[in-house]
Amino acid sequence: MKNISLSLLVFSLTFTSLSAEDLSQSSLEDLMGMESEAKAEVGSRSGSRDFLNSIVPIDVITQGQIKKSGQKKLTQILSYYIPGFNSPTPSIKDGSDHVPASTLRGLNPDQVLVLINGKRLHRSALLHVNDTIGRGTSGVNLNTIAVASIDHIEILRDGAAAQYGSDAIAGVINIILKNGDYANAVSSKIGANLDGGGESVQADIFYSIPLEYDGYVNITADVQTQNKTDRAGIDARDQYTAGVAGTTKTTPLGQPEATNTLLVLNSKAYYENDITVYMAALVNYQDSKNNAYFRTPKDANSSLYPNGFLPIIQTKMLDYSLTGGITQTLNDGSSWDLSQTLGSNDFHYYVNNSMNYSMGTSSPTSFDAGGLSNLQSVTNLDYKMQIAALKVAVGVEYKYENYKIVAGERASYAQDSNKTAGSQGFPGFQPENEVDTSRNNYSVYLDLNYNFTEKLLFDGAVRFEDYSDFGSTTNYKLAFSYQLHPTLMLRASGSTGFKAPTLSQSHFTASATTVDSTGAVTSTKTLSPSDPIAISLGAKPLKPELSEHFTTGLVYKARENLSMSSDYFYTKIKDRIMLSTDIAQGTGKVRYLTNAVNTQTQGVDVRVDYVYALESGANLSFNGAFSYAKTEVLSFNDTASGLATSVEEKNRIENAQPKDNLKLLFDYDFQPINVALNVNRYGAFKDVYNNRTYDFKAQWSSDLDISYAVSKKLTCAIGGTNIFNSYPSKWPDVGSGTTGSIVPYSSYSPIGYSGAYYYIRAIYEF
Amino acid sequence: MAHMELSMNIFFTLIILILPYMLSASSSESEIKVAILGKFAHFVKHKTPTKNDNFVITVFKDKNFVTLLQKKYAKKKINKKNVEVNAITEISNIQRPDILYIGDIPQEEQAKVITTAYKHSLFSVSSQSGFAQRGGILQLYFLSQKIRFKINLTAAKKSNLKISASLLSIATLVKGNQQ
Repeated sequence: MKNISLSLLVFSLTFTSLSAEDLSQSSLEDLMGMESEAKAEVGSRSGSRDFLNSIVPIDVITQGQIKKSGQKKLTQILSYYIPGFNSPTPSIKDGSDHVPASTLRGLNPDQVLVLINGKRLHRSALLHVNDTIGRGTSGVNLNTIAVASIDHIEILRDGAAAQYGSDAIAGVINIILKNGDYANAVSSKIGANLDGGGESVQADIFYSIPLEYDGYVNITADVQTQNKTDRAGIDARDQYTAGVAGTTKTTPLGQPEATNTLLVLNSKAYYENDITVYMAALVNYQDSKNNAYFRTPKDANSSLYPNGFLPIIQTKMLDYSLTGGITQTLNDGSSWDLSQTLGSNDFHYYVNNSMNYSMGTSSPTSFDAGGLSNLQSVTNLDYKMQIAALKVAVGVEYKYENYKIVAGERASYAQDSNKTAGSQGFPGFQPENEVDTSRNNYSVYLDLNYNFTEKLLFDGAVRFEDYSDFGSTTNYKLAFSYQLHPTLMLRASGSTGFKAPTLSQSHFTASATTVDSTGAVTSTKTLSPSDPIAISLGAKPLKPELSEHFTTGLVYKARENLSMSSDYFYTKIKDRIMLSTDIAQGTGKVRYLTNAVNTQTQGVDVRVDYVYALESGANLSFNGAFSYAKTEVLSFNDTASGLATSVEEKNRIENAQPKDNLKLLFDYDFQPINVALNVNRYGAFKDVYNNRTYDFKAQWSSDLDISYAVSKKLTCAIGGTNIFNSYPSKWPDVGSGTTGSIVPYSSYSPIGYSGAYYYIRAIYEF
Repeated sequence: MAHMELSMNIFFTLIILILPYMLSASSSESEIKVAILGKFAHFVKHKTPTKNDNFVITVFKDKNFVTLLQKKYAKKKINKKNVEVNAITEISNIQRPDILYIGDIPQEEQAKVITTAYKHSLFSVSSQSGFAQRGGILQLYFLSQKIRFKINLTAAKKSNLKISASLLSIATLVKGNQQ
């Protein structure tokens, strides 16, 4: 079937590419209504290019697409358009409920570099330590950026550490903020889930203040609130009496209750002598609550909560990023750019409706459980010049990072009797966990771009980095594109890359002490790799993850309105950092982060973009995208960590994320009406319980947005995500009181388990 | 694996189904700029018309744009005249084209070019930020991938250019320098 399809495809494209449209025959109105090819800057310092002519695979989510999606969170927009972008929404996973991990190509969250206007964005302070995607990693929290402030999003699907430094292994997401040409606008969106909960209200304003010579100051404010959803099953654990299983629901399972306030300022001012001063500031405050597992009356055994209690973990997160810079174009056409970026993420835990068992009835019920913070400062100087057909960019960069753990209040971790210590739901960080650590690194880089002929383009890059904690690394990239035919381009690239161990990976520690009904005390500790106990077990200082990449593909532009690309990629990563299994140590268990595993990931990305102008004047467009990525463990380095024999950890690398993802986007635009339909298919995945692997089926999901332009200024829309109320397949009966009972769905489910969400929205321009 | 094959089959079949219906749509920014440049001739008139035999478009310091213009306007006519595309790198070499397109150049040089264009009553066009506010007549830009333009009407009037009301109605009018 596929062979026949391919043959027909080649025939069709050959036939259809014979006639090219002549734009000079179009009217002025037609030309003004026509969308140009999206341009992207990511992947090369030689200036923006039409993304189809890019030497490496790039996706661009345009402003039009952002609007038409109806989505107001960046992770939702990326999930909507980018195949292979995975952002599950786990529940009852402590901090991971509030800052879900997002991945590309089935790799880790910290193997994606995120840029704002081309400048590195800092990571979240949160280290995922529960059994979620991205366990043992700290990624960027993408939902700290107000969507109304975004012009377009560029996604580089290739390794790019030789250009941007650490993290650019699975790809690079470059978010470009709006310039001053956009109209001021207010918008709002209200919605709820079909099966209850999830009521959400969102409102934003974008306001642009023009400055001289097309300069601008743009201000965006966005406020979002969402209620919790609950898709839990029955709590089958013994409730009041041993041996008598529960028959009711006790523990909600679903998206957290959250309030999010986002502010974005983006500014550019033009001065004499071709000097441009720019600034971007992002501020996000998130207050989010989700529950832990219900503490049964039997376990609580306290007059404080005779009927048991449901601990609520509340996280308050303050995140900001400030970038300022100055650039000048010199008379010879060369330019320099000096910038400073300061980013910080402060993540604080509180536990409510809880108690410290060891404090008995004198226990408080609310606790400050301490927090984490991560700070990053990047100073960059970049110089670009052109010598004939050779474009050269050189630069130096200095980066400073700081990571802190702050202990919670005493009651959140204290053990005042021979009962379990600390606040139930989330025991606080202890003074022994406190850390205030820093590192710095400098880098020097060179980018070359050379047009050998009109048809042959070459890119080369080399970047040297020296980190104060683990030493230096040099990375390279070579890429070329060749125009085989006016409609057909071949491209290929090879590169090396790395991901520095994050400070959270090197220094995160946590402790908890539990006492069972027999009085046996068990301590569980997450140790830093430099802890003497961890060293005695075989831990070593963390090294960078090292990667090798190869990508090759074809871009076929059959006509002005039809393009296709198909790229094969291969990524080999050495020394991937993972959190060990729980290792018995004395009367307790310990775990630590280690450069545990070597993997390879390979697959294909295929996309088709097509626009069809109907005679009625309407436009019908179709974007089809398919991604397949398969990760395999090549070998484990560390036998002491228990990872080599862990079914669960191997599964998390190889099978916990869908290998394939298909997106079919249809858009019908006949002003004043626009209809956008997105049909998604996420491939099957696997999850593990008690060392046994379970299969979870592939899932289809459809999103729809229908908008109507009431006037030139006012547009109203109705729509929904997952409109057919699709749910992931459930856990079978695994004999657990929680997994398969309270938690019917796997936390790996790529579209969550809250079901259909419907909304109305409106935007008014002024 | 069976799911993947099914997905691929659906994917390719859909592509084949839609292929026969292709008509119009997205081009590069440069191609759209080249096409729209020719349209302005219908809406912008010189009070003292040029005496060129051909419709002359002169491009100052933008080689790629020249190549594209020459390619797209070969054998085409604007205002019933053949199209002649010239490239110059010294503003002193300017004659009196019907349209002067100016590439991205340093501000100091841009100011000189705008002054010269003003003296010769030229219809100057550029895509450079701030061009219209600095005294250029028409500035092209892209918003949400759609081409738009800004017009400095005062500069146009002082350059003895008459711009039709229909063009002005879809342009963003800017105030700024008019030399």
